[in-house]
Amino acid sequence: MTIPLFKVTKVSKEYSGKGGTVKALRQVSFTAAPGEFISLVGKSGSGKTTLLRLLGGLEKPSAGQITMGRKEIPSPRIGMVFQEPRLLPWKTVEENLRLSMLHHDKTRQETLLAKTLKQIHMESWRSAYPSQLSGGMAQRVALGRTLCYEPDIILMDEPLSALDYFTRQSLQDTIEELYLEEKKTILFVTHHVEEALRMGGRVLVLREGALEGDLSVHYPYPRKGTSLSLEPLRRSILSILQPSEICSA
Amino acid sequence: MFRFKNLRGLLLPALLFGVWWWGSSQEWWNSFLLPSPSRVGAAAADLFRRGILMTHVKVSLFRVLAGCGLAFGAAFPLGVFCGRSSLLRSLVLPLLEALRHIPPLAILPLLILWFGIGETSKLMVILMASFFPIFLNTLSGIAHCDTKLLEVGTTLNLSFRDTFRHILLPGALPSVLVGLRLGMGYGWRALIGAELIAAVSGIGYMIHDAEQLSRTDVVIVGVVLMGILGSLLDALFFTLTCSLLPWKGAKMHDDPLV
Repeated sequence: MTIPLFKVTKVSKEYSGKGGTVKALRQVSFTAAPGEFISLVGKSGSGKTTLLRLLGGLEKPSAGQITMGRKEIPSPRIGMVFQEPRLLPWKTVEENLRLSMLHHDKTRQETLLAKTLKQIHMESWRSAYPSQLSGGMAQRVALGRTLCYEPDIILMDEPLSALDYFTRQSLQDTIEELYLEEKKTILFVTHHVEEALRMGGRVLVLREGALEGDLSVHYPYPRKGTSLSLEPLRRSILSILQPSEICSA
Repeated sequence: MFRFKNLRGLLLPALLFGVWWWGSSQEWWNSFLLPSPSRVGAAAADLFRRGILMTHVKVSLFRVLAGCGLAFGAAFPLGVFCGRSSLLRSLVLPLLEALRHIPPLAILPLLILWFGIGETSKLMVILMASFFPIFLNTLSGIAHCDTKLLEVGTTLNLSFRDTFRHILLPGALPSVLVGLRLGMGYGWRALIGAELIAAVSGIGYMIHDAEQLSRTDVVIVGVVLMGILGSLLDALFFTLTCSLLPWKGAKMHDDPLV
């Protein structure tokens, strides 16, 4: 059995406010092996982003435990790509990428910068400010910034949700290329079932804060989320997300 | 680049000047109360030729720049610390809020008593006038820094020093610069007031001295000069702001204050 890179054990998260307590996550448990590409799918408000924020260390769980690392990588570096690019508007593309390389010396920075700009297809935009970029380009730079950080685990919080169909397809290809090239552990949040199947080697299904499904996708890349061979998996996921509607269909 | 917007801004002053010139030539008012433009021009030329004008301008400019520099030195770090610490905010803000409502000229008699009639009391007046716009705008810029960008710093494991240098400070810079711009305007106005009361040099003193000698033409030279110098300082500051905020690009020129 593969030793996991991180382990989520019975994690719950509650938010208290004037309107009462909201349970965002309920006893979620799963593990992730090194080099695994996991899609996390669920409807809006199902707790996907909360789970990612807990893994990214931006919030603390109300109960349960998150264990990071294993013998070879005792404290893995975690990189995060947000729903919106979150680029620093006062920095150029190059400077935004350099922000995640402050711990490296100049030579390493240059090598990593050149490599990353090529990977994200933004070589000719290195001097541009974020305000001069399209949404897709900005999201590419955000992805590049995370790659420059050289993380062991990449958390992606619906990074393609605000993009048009074609830009989305193009970025899906880029992420897939990066994954096949670098074999990082990726947790990819989406609310598109097809996208989850297109990207992940494993799909976790979250419903109302609880982990309701854990499915393996044994199909080689490149894939199409709408491929007929993935139809049984798609139906399984939909039956978890909306059982009554699927049954009546 | 030359812009027609700037030219439009000259229309109203030109109209006022025309009314002033026409009214004076038609003797609509007593020339002692409001001398003609030609008499004011002649007075300005005379003061300039004798070197008096430049001496007063240099003194006033030095005072306003030094006073604003001191105010920035005190207000900026305090604004940064208060912007980051709610504890410090709750300790410091009530007192500063009370002090903010005291016009600096109201405590000029005390300042003269404590620091004498020399430069220190005047610099203190400017410092007090410029302090609050700089402090409040720095505080606001730091406290309202985009939390989403701060989260990026957290996920990249940036130290506080790097977070401040790369995220907090540039994020707050537009607000800080607005504070500095307002502070300079406030300082300029307070300086003239201080020079009117206790000084032997400066544009305010020149106006006060001219009033004693019933030279309304020199008073007008001083008043117009104050307006022109204030606008020039502001324009210079705006140019500096544009070069410090290159990412703002064309948006800077949509500033309603420009």
